[in-house]
Amino acid sequence: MDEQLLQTIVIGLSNGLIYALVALGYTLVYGIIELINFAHGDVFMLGSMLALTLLVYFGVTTGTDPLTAISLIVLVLAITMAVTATLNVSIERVAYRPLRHAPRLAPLISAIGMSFVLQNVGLLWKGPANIGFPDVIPNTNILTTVLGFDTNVAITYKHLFAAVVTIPLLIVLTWFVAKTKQGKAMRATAQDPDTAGLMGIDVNRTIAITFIIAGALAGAAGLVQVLYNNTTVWNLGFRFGLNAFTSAVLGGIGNLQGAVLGGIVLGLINAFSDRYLSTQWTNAIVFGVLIAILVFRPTGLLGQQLADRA
Amino acid sequence: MKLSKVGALAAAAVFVFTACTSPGATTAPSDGGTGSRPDACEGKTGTSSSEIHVYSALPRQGSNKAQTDALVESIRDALEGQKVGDFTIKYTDLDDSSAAAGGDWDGAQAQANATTAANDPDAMIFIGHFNSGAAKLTIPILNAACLVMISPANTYPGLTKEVAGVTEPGEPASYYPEGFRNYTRVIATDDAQGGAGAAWAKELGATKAYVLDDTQVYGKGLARAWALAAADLGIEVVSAGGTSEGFDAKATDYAALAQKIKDSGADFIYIGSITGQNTGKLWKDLRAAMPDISIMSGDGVFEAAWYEGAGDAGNGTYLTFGGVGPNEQTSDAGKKWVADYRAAHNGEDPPVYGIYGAAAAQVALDALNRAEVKNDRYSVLQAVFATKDFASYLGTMSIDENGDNTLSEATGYRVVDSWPPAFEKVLVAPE
Amino acid sequence: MSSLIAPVEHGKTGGLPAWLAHLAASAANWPAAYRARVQASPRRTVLMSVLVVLVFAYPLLNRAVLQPFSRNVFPLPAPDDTTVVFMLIFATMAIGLNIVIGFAGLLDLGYVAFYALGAYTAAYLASPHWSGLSILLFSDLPAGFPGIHLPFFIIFWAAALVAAIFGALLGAPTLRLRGDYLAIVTLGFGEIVPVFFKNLVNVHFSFGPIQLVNANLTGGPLGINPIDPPQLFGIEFGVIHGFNAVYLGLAVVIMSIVIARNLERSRMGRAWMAIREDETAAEMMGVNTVRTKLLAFGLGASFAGFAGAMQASYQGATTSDFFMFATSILVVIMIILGGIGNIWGVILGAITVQYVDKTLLSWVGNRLKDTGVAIGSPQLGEINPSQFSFLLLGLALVLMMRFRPEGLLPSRQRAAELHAAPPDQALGSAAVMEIEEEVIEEAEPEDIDVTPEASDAGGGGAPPDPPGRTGGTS
Repeated sequence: MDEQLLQTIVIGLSNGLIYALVALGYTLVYGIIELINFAHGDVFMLGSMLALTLLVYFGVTTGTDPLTAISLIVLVLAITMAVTATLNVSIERVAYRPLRHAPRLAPLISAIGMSFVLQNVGLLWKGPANIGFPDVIPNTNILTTVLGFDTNVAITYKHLFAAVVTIPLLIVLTWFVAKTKQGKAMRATAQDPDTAGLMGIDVNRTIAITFIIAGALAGAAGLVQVLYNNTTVWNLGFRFGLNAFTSAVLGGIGNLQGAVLGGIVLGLINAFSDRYLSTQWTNAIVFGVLIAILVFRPTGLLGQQLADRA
Repeated sequence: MKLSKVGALAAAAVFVFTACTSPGATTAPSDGGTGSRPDACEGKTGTSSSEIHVYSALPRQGSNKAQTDALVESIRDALEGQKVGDFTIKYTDLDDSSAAAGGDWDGAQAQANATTAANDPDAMIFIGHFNSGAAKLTIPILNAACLVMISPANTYPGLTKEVAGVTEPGEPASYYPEGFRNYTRVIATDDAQGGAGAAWAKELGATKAYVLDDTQVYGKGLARAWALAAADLGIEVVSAGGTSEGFDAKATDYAALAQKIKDSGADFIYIGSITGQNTGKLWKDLRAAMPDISIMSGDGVFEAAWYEGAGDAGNGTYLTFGGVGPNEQTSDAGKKWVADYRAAHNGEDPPVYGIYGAAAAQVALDALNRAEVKNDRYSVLQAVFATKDFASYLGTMSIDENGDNTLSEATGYRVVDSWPPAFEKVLVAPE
Repeated sequence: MSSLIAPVEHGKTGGLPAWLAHLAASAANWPAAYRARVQASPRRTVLMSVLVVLVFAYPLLNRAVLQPFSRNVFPLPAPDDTTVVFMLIFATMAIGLNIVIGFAGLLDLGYVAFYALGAYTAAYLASPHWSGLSILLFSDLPAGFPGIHLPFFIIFWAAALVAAIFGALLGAPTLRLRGDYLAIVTLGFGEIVPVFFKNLVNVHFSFGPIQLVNANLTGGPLGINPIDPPQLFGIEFGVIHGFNAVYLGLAVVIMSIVIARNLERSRMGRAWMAIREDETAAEMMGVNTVRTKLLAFGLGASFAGFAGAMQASYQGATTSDFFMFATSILVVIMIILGGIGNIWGVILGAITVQYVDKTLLSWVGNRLKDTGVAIGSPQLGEINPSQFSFLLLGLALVLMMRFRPEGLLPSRQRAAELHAAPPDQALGSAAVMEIEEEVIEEAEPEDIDVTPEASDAGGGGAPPDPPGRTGGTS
């Protein structure tokens, strides 16, 4: 196969996995309370800002000894996840829970408002320009340097990193939702919160736990984003949010595997449009595809799974 | 069908009010240019016997705030409370950006600023705008109000002159409905900077160039001017259509774009953009794919915030500046201004546009001092256009009949592992 | 008959003279109707009259009193003409979006697309952009002047028509989608339309007889500039004549109010509310949901077309930078804040939000600066409240949803729904029962649409109806 084409696929796949990571948070929340949590992208953005700040604070930079770097990154990961999980569950408590029985528009609008608040917090915190972060994970081509292939296609440590983080996470999440007791409670709440309540499931607690998981996921994604893209900015949540949300919808919102599939498809569409057309048309193409898919398959590629009350 | 009586009342009121306030509103352009006082300037004289008002309209929030803070500070220091003749200058800092526009310039806000100044009989000079797009909207308003503008930062050529391939048909005449000029600037235009940059790239050995822009007025204008000049100099422009190609500032990454550029075989990249358009990420992705390629960009990214965003990926970048950068000021006045700024700001270098604000204020003050009638707009306007061989912070300059300045120098810098970049040379645009 | 489409159809089919005649007839009948109205509810009518007079007098008052006072004595936070015009432009959009969200319950997050379409339509029809053509109509430009130059009263309706067509086009494929998906699709559409306007600048395209080489379709990032100012009877309403433009804007808003109120009370309006409440039930009751939703989208979008035409011709320029996601959200914020579902509420929302964003915050910032200088701590001036405007608006949205979801000036029906607890928690609360009864009460006389009392109920807590809606019946 053509090397240029292969390279585009590699870029698309790896970017897609990063989108998927954010998309999982949207899909989890939507799956359980049927709310497009507009603020999720911005929690992710704040997570990436916090992670970047902590990494700089701990002095992680290019050439930091790998073992030290990894242990510090794990520490930063833990802190970031704890903070964003707390933030996310507080948002749920303040902005969504009181509106549980209001018309559907109400929490959605509350979410949009929250998203603006968080964006502006990011703007006030770090200012309007991109903040850079050095390459901790090297951009070295594994194919040529480690495996000794003679090729122009580059699969770097960063690409590998995207796969190594996202795929296990998806497996763990799927297992959690499908096999654990808490996962069962989530599925029950998603299907019918009233009946679930009658069956002895603490609905509020279940929803709160979902938000905690989604928030932790946003924090993890924020850190991954900093290491992968080496930058963050106040409107990152909007940039990623649109792509991630579209991924979730493409795959069938509420469906974990769907979010990952959607992310990958979207990553590929983005990469192909950027490579063979022009970046300035990419957004139009992404939304064109989204509209087309929703028209022909209103429940996305894999259909809705967690939430099944149309 | 039932119709509201209020509707009828409104319709009637509209005609009554407008009829009595605006008899024969369309004015034919006056012949202008011959020195005869244009109709629009009739009666445009201040009412206060002690004050003259100077306004500036700049984006005071969002990504340009650091630049405009320095601009406003320079203008305020130069003008506030100064005496010209019997008058004291009162300076007002207006904001042409809004939250609705994401902190960037907002057309409605810019026009509101212009009308505010136009309606103030004591307003004699309007310093602005930062963005050429905003100036496009307000020049006609201030033209009708006979109020002279001095821009410290607009580089789009079409505001003052016609440049083939860069400006639109009808420009610049379309901005001056009253038939006379009222817009001046103390900064060089894109075509000068783009041309100088292309000539430098040629010297640096560029043969195949890929030209990118941020799809904004400034970025696209500069990139197109560079591409045109480069093509004339024999550099092959391989981006789409042989001109500049837009990049989407909202994209999450540019890895595939970088791949596309790599595959095109280009040995040189030119980027027309302002910092806030995701430039940090763009540089990083370009560098990751092409560690050794030469990248050049213009003064839109000539600021510390850009380097912070791009990090190491910014190293090696050639930067051009449409004028003489603050640290290379050759005039004594310029050097002193920079030294004063550093002294007042704990040794920090001034943001690039700061000195242009100071120069604009200087030109304004000089013109007010020379104006025959200091509180007459037309008199002040003529004085600004009559600026000749004036020793400004930017060097000795004159304002020509288009409103452009005669300083056509551009300067070239290279980023060497830290900010600020190292000065390389004074650039000359090819003829 | 409570006819809904009449005002719109008149415009589109060129029955403008008939409409004007009707306006004139209504105007002739005005004193009697007004007296009757004063007798029916004196306080409201007087209040409303004072408000109307104040609104109309504002530009004069501003010029004669407020501006000189601001310059010479103490700066007042008084909006200038351009800000007032934009308040009115946004009020028009709020009225239109209220039809889509407030009446029909379809969440549209890409309303800015229709604003852009309206603006570009107006720009195409009244500018030198198509410099290869020369089409002049009722124009005092010299023959052969490049570009298309149609009069404002044509481009105004053309802009609305184009926006409406696109509204229906967008609506068609999304009809099967549920609320949230619809929000995303409309959001996407709102992102796509400006992308097209921004990028269609060096177009190379060939398809059969259509050959485009380096065609400039939209002006790219420069946009289209200059655009002819609106002109009626030789009077200009462009930015240079901001004073006149305020009255044109008022006329547009009043016309929008008339159309929207007629729509609200029509059969279609009730159908919209029915699908908003329960789409399945509405369909069972014989509401044609497809047609109803398409009309909501199309008619709602046409108001953004009006607004776009106003923006382009007033400012004399339009570029894709004016049409961002933030603008869509801003209009949503306006209608939420003002009182979704209530025309007067959303107008209040539009005016408030514009006022805060454009005038009040920067005024506060300048006063902080002055105070800082006066008390010798210029750091105070570093605080720029304008920067916080979206933070404040976001907070306002969250707080409103939590504590007053019906908005500042609620629609009574909406308020009842929003405050009615769900069945499992209601416990037959007397208050809720009362409100629900009111809702029912209100719904019935509406159908007949004769008595002024009925219309009062419809207006809810809002200012009373314009006098004499039904002429002699009171």
